[in-house]
Amino acid sequence: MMTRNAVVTFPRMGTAVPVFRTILEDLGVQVLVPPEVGPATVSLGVRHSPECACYPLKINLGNYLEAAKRGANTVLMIGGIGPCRLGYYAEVQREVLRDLGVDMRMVVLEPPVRGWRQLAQAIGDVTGGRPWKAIWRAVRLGWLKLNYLDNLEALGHHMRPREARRGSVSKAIAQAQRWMDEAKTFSAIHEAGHAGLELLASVPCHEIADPVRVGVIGEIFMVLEPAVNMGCQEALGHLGAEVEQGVWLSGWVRENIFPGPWRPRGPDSHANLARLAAPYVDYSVGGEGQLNVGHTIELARRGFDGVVHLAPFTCMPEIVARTALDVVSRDFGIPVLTFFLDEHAGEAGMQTRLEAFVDLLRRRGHGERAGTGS
Amino acid sequence: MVAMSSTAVAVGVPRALLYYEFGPAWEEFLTILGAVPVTSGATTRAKIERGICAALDEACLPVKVAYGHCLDLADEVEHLFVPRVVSVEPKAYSCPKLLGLPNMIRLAVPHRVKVLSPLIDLSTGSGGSLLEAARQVAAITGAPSASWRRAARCLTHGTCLARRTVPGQGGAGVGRDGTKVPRSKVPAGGTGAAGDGRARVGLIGHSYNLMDDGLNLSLRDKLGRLGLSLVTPEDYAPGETAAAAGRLLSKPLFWTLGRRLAGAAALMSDDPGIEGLVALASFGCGPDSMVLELVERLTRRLRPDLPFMLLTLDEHTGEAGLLTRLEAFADLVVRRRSG
Repeated sequence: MMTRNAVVTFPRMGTAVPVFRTILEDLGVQVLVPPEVGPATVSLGVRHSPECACYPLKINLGNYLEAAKRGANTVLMIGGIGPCRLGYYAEVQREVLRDLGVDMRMVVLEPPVRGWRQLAQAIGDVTGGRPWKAIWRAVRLGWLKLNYLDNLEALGHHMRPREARRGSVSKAIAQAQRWMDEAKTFSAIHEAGHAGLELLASVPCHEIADPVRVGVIGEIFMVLEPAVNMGCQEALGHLGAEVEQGVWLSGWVRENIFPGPWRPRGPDSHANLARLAAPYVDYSVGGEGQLNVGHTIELARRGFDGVVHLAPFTCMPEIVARTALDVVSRDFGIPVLTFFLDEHAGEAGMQTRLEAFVDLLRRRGHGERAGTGS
Repeated sequence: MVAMSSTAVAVGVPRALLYYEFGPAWEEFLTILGAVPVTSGATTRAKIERGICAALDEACLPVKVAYGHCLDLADEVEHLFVPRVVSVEPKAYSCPKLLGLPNMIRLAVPHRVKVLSPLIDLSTGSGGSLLEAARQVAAITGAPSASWRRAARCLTHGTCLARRTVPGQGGAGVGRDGTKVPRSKVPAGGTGAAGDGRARVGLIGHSYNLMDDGLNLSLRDKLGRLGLSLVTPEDYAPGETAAAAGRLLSKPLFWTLGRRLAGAAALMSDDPGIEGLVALASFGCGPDSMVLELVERLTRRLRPDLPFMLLTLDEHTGEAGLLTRLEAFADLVVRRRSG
């Protein structure tokens, strides 16, 4: 079914990139990773996307077009059943590519809610009919890599406010990611993972007694892809804030793909977040909308100083979430800074707002501590 | 009876969003359960302003209008009826903002106002959730349980798309009808021009945008004055538009209203008597941003010569700018006729 010379590309989304690449390459698929999201990607994507589409759709399209120029002829994309727009991205993107005369085939992985046939067909299609055993092995390989990569970043978020030399944590992470990129077997991934974590742990740090703690939550694409959120988590770290990222790809997989009994059950499991959100949003409104409300409450309960909420402009679930967050913020006394981002957002504007936000949290924290101490 | 009616509970029903689909059924449902439905008046500039102030900036205009209606009603009544319409047909849903609407409204109105938001979910085909909806309202009005089933049945009947075979029922009777052409009056077979020789133009969009003259700056009236006769998605039976959408799109749409307007657009572009297509979208509307883009691309392939205009509305839309665009469009349609 698949032509012999298929060159497969896929949308960029933070840690998903090395993981998809590992899985596909392990199956012998020729992969072309789109170049990092830059001004050219944004401009291509925006020019050819529907004006009011949400930002991820535009970035995806920019990725495809840049990959097509470099020789990719097949796009691997996910589908969905709504009500969030993501489920219909592939349909719109396919028609845009067709009207542009770009010869790219789209293989869409639809969730198996109406039977497994379609999904199995798509997987067979893109892997060239490799046996399930090989696919399972490749997926486990990718999963292992993803866990190391997410752990690495989580540790980085914790260390950044403590680093002795600004930028040394990000540098160590970049090095560890490069090692991880080259690892192609289970033992190599374990080795690269341990080496990476050790390298990061050896970055010289200062002791700080009581850093400002900020949760970063939001729509998954905007949280995971540093090129579209303008390195929000890193910027917060450099401003001296300890960041806890509330959304991870590994977490998403655990919540949505793992079979029921293996799903997380802790305080920040989706089941618990939905329960916490219920007084404000008592129904899943698609995407991460309801979960972000629950997450803000959960972070407030754990004594976090503030929350940064990232969402694409016009994102429907996050509009509902933001409406509720106004009230949650008041009820739980936790400042929430929302960024609705699209191609018009500027890095300097974001930096200024983050600086002001961290200043506010720091001052507020000291005031409160002084108040409770006396 | 007189004594009872004096103590009957007044329940506010905002004339916004899905009211334009299911309003009459909601009012009947409330009446059966012993409540007095108080439906808000037409959308006014003052209501829109009030909604803009209360809603999130990023929300779409129709949601802001709904805020305005709810806040106005909240001045008068203690109860608001804002059902959570999840699904009215299998495998299709409302947009996320409509799913979250009861929560957003509850956070916006004063605490004394109780928002009744029963779940309407017919995605699995059973009307079981509607009996629960009746129970919720009855808890306020004290209606005897004997009436619950009848109320639930009325709600099912009025909302289940599969049962709405008569075009326009529920929806079309709501708006102040000026230029709308009921299907019965459209020439059979849909060929040729409207009976009166005016050019026939398809107008697609969500019913709450098309039929709310206060929100859309009297768009239908303006198009009518320009000598155009209008055909809207409500002029086709739901089954008809669903089937047409299925033929047009390679993957079924999971938004009910999107499905309807994509199907209507397909039927309109198949109809040689339709001489132009106007699509009305709200700025920031998620489904519109996807569905209308596809409609424009796919109908262009079917009928490359069909004039198509996308109007995007928000609270900043000016009447003069709108009129200029409509005039240009009408000129184009008329010129193509003579050419």
